[in-house]
Amino acid sequence: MNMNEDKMKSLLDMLDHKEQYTDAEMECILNDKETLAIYETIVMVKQALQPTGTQETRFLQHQTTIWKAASVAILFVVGVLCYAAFHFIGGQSYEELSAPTSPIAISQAEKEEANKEKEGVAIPKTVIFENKTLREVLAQMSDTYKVNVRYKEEGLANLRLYFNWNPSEDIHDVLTLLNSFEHFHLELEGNTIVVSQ
Amino acid sequence: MDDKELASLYKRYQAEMLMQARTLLYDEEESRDVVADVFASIAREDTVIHTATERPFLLRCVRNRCINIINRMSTRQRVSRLITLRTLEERDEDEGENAERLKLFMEQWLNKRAISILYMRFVEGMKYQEIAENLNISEAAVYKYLSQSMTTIRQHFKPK
Repeated sequence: MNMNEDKMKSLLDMLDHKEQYTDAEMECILNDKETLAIYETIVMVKQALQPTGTQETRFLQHQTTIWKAASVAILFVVGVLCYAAFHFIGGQSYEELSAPTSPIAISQAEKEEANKEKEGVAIPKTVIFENKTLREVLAQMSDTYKVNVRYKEEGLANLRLYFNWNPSEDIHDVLTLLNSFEHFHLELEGNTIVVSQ
Repeated sequence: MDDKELASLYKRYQAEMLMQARTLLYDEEESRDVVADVFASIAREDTVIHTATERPFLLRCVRNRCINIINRMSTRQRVSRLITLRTLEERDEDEGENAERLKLFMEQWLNKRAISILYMRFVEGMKYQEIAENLNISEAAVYKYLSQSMTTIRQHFKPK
């Protein structure tokens, strides 16, 4: 156990200070079977937590075949939730209802809070939308890019998606990325993002 | 394949292809090059693509190119992007599934702060010191979270 802890420590240390290790030292450390196994676990952790990659691709793959049925289902669920919200939890605010439940969303929130305390680092590198409605996603984007949003069909606003947004990216690039989702089409008309089916 | 057809393929699939390349290479510029190369080679070799299989075909092209790039990388290059040190096979595709299972596992076994720290360290590539400052805890605590999380995963998570 202790030996493994040492291996963990030296691996983590190496990853944190790569510049201090020569190629040979690096290969030597990773030549150990257990250390290599820890490294591969870290690789997997990175893949698992990666917001862009797999989830989004899977989302797309999955939805292309059954997206019509899915949209109906999603809208239905949203409808039921709204009904529940108005009838059973009358006084509770929208924020409480939509409070992020996933750890990644929380990690982002925690970081933003931490960032607010320090001046000068107010803009996070990337914003992770996990299971957020299109309305929430576009609302945040329209603030940043100073544009308006118009929905040709109101129901589209309630679609939920996973998306990893880099606010420093150009709005056109971001819209192109978002348009890889099959459910909706976004177009910039003058100063307005128009959402259509 | 004429220019028009190629342009239409590009328009429909480039975003998804780019995403696929990013998840393998973790590098924006290289990922864009890979996608551009795929289309360049289709144009050059006048590849015939069947409509029914165009999507899997294009994604497969991206994947194979990325795997070739990764297999040529040095240990240092891979370690600095946290890319696997295994030799990747062109058919080997279950890592996505393992990642999905590991995500669920972490949500069950680790607390939110531990997951945030794993995320900051391994996905965003922040240093211990930055994480410590960000969360207002000591560097030693950051290390402890990381090493305990990794130990838990190593002991209890069995990849397929």
